[in-house]
Amino acid sequence: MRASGAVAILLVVLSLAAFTASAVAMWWAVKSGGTVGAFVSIAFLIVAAITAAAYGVLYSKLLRPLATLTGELTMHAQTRIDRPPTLGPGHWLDMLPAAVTKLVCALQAARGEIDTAVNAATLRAQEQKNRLEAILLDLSEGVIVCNLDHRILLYNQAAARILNMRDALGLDRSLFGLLTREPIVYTLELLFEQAEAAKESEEPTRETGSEAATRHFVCSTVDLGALLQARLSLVREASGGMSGYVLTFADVGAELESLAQRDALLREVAVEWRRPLASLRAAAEMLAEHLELAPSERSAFEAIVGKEVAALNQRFGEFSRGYDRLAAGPWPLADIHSLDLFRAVRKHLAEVDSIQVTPVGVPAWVHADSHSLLLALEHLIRAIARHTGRTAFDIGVVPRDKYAYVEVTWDGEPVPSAVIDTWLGEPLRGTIGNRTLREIVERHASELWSQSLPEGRTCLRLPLRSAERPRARERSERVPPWSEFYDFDLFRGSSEALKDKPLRKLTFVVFDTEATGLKPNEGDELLSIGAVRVVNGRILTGETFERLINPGRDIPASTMRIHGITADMVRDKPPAPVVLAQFKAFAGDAALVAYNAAFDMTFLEKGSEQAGVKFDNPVLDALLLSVYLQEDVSDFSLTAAADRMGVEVVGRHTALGDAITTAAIFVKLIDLLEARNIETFGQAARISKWMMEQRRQEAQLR
Amino acid sequence: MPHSVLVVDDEANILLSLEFLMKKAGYDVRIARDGEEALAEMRKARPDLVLLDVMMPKRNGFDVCEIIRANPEWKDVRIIMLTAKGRDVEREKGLAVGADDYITKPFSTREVVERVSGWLAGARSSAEGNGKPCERPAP
Repeated sequence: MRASGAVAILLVVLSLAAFTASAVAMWWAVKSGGTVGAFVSIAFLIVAAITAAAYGVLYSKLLRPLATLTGELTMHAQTRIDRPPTLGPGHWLDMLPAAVTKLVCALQAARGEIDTAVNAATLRAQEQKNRLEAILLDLSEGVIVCNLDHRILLYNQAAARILNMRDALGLDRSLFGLLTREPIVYTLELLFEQAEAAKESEEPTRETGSEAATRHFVCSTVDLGALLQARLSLVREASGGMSGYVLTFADVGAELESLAQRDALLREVAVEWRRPLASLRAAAEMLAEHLELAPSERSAFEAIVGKEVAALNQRFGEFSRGYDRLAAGPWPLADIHSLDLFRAVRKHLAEVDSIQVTPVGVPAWVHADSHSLLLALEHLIRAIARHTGRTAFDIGVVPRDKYAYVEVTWDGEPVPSAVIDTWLGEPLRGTIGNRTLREIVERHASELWSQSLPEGRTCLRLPLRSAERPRARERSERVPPWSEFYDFDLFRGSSEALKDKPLRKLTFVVFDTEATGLKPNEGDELLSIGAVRVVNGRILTGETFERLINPGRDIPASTMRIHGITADMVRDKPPAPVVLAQFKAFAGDAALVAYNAAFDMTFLEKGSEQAGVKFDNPVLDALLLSVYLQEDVSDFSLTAAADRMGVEVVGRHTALGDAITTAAIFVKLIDLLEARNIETFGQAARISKWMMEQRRQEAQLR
Repeated sequence: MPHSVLVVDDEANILLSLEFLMKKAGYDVRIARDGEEALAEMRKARPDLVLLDVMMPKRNGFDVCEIIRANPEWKDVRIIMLTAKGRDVEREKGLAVGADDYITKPFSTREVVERVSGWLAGARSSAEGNGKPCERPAP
């Protein structure tokens, strides 16, 4: 460019010089009147013209295209333009523009590849982040990640819950606003020393490296409100340096507290009881051995006996209450979900003893030593089977106050206490030290007894402590506004055969659906179906249906918050028709029950044709029935109804969780309906239909 | 005619006190030292009330209580259990097997006398056709 510029300037200078020369020659020729001057001036003029023409050609063919090309290339370098640089014809740049075009195309391709790679990497990073978030969310331990300046880079919900200091917990805040500095700094120093030592010695393997980079310690919150059992690990960079650390912690205040209490109780017995016992013993011996005591002396010693006994009695009462609190305290029992326990019992007894155990009712969390409890339940059911000759049992858990009663139920008479006592004395194989059933029951600070139930049934009852569980989070309830109805007759299927059957004797499939939204007729699609069978008024928790569905469309964030189903979760799941066919196979001809059945049935109907099935089952709506029974109530959300009926809301808002809750409500509704002499399916269906009609009319009035 | 009370406990010292207290309150008192003995005494003559210890050799209190309740002739016999552990669940078990009331050891002698007389006064009025004196606590 510079060279061509120089040439151009040279040409301009030359042509200007030629013009000047020709002008000078002309002036000289005029002045001298000679012809030579005229010729010279004409010659200069010609040279000037040729030079100017040369410049013009050079400019249009070379300089301008070059400038254009330069401009375009600068633009390509600075911004992203999709078209290759264009240059009109008639330039002398030869293959240069083509080469430049190739270069730009290559640049564009490279940029495209980078974009794809970046997008893929971003997606992967996002997925990993989501997974990490899910793991962190699930952890009951608190997790905080800090950089080496002790600034918080990340924390999870458990951390917020355990620390209970939301003000001080926040990103980029100092960790030492939350936790005491010394133990953390000290532990970090130890870890750094270890890491240095490891670096100097032989090349550490990954495993030993990461093992060495973790230390356990106990620290406390700055307000000394909680004592934490903590674990600290260094975060290594790829280069081997340290970039920060991960702190994991759990609140052990309660455990340490119970240890301290145990200690205090023992000390109380060993030390504090000595003095009253000594006085008591001395006084009693005086009274027994010294018959020569004067009446006044005798009554003085009797007073001592009375006083010390009263004192000891009070101390004993306190001691006993303290002991019970400890025995049923938080450690080392753990929370276990009853259904997990019962499924294990069912499996073992079916395989080994051909005893059929059916989990029933609404599952709950119980506080128990799950392993020994599992063995104890199996042992008990075997013993009952031997004693009664029965081979079919229901097992369930009934919440009551702070207890959850594990109940094994069968048809027949109660087992005498004397028999249960012999069972309690039997050692259980598989427990540590072959503990007896009685030891296990004692360990749970419990008792065991059998009790007769209505209709010739009997249960064996084992109260356990119920576990503290956060209540299921309230969802924006899905009871549609009164005006929302669907144009098919929901209760047409109440077939003649079912009409006179008592509700209590029927088989129902209680189900619930989750969907992308509330409008099945405006493009919303199913995301999951959950269902549970109810037979003879028993919720068969072991016979459930639960499937996720690929909706074939996006899942709006607004509803994702409610059901928690993400696109990732349903990506490889079958579409609605496949699952609907499976659901129909599960349901068979049983009567279907849902809470606000119109909504769920619309989704079933919508996909049924493609699935090649027909949901012509008789239908009952638990919502309409509860509206009928409790007209003076205004909140008919599922959770409100569950609260009123004393039903525990299980699990998160999953289709299966809601189906089980609905089933528990429905079973209670059967009782309430019977109290109003509504006993047959036909009657219940008529009420549903009538309530539906009422709502329709109300809606029209609005 | 005075009410009759059967006191059942395997611990001689407690038995001595309870026997003394019941006699002093004007009842016709008999004693038994274990579950089998208690049932034998029951068969000899039906008492109005049984003070029944839980932890005993040869049939514990729950067991005895159940057997008493299983016999229709003894359905009006009041049973007060003397429980040892004092847990909610133990009380519930007692009521489930048919006890009317329960008292936790160690107890004050005054309380025992009051409860016994309360239940027996109820038994009299119930015999006179006034229904149950106290609602039996729901199990």
